[in-house]
Amino acid sequence: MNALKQFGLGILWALLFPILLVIYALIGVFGLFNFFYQFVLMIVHFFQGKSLFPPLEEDVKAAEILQKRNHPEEQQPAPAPAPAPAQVYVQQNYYQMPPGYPPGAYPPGAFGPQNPGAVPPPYPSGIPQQNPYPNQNNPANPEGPAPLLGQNPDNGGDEQ
Amino acid sequence: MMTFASISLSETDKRALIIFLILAVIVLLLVALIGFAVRKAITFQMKTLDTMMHDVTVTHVVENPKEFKRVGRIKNNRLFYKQSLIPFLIALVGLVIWIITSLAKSNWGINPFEESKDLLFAYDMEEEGLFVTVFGIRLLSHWPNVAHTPEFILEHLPSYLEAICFIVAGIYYLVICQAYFSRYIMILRRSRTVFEKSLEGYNATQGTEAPTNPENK
Repeated sequence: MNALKQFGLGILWALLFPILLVIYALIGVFGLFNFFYQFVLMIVHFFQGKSLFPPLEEDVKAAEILQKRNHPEEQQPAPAPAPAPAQVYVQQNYYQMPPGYPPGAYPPGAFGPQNPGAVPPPYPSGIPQQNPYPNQNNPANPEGPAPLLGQNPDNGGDEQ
Repeated sequence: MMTFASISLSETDKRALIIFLILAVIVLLLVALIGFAVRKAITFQMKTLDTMMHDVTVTHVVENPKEFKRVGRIKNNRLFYKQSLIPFLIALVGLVIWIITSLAKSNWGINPFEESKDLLFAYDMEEEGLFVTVFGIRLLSHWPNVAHTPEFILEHLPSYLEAICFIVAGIYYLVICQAYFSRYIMILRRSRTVFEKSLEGYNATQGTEAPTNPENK
């Protein structure tokens, strides 16, 4: 019975087919105009820097609403990140000094290897000009001071 | 000679009647099949429109039939353009082949469809006694003689390609036009049904007072 019904509907549609063909022909002519119109629109979008067919405003709104509805957790503001632990870098400005130099004096070579004999600035008055440890090396390094950067320890601390 | 209900049929008439009946059944079946295919295709394309308009409708971004039609028309036109790119490109290929062939042969009057008839059977429809008249209807009395058998002529190869390109592009474009029309019909239908409000089975008195005012009970 269903097959007969389908058959009958098929015949009906087939009888309507010539009318449909006329409509399709009109749509075909419209399609040519639509083709050129959309093509020009596409070129305009291209030179505006957009995508060739940017989404409609309605689509964007709908996408936002659906996004909020489907993923509500993504819409909550993210918790503020915990403050990073403060890092304090302590730089120890302690120079390995050869014996006989007062504390606070400039180490040998402080004025550059090109000026080995440069005279350090005068020690400020009012401060004892005497080394409190005249005959001692650095207790942390009893073998003597470490060679400075740019000095060869085997060569008596001279420049290489 | 056979006599049937005071109608006498000669052998020729009888044969013609049988051919007529067989042809009628075949044509009817083909027509029904074409109609069935058209109906199925239209239904399928209507569903495409539903997919395109679903999100903007369920989120109430589009809230009235006018807006629905406007958005639906824009989307339908865009899809029509995108779909028609393929048949237009196929037709363009055919056109380029035709231009190159015409330039090479210095003949701009080549009809690719005429030359492509090499690949088809041709029947001699001018043969004497081919048609008979039964009950006032002119019918074929027998299958016509073959006047031309298919043959491949290498010189006509560009015309074959052009004809194939144009025919495929034409049929493709027709299908796309059909799809566009189906979607357009669906836009009109949905714009009415999606936003319609029905008062069927609704009673204003019961609907407003009965649940809220317990004294009415």
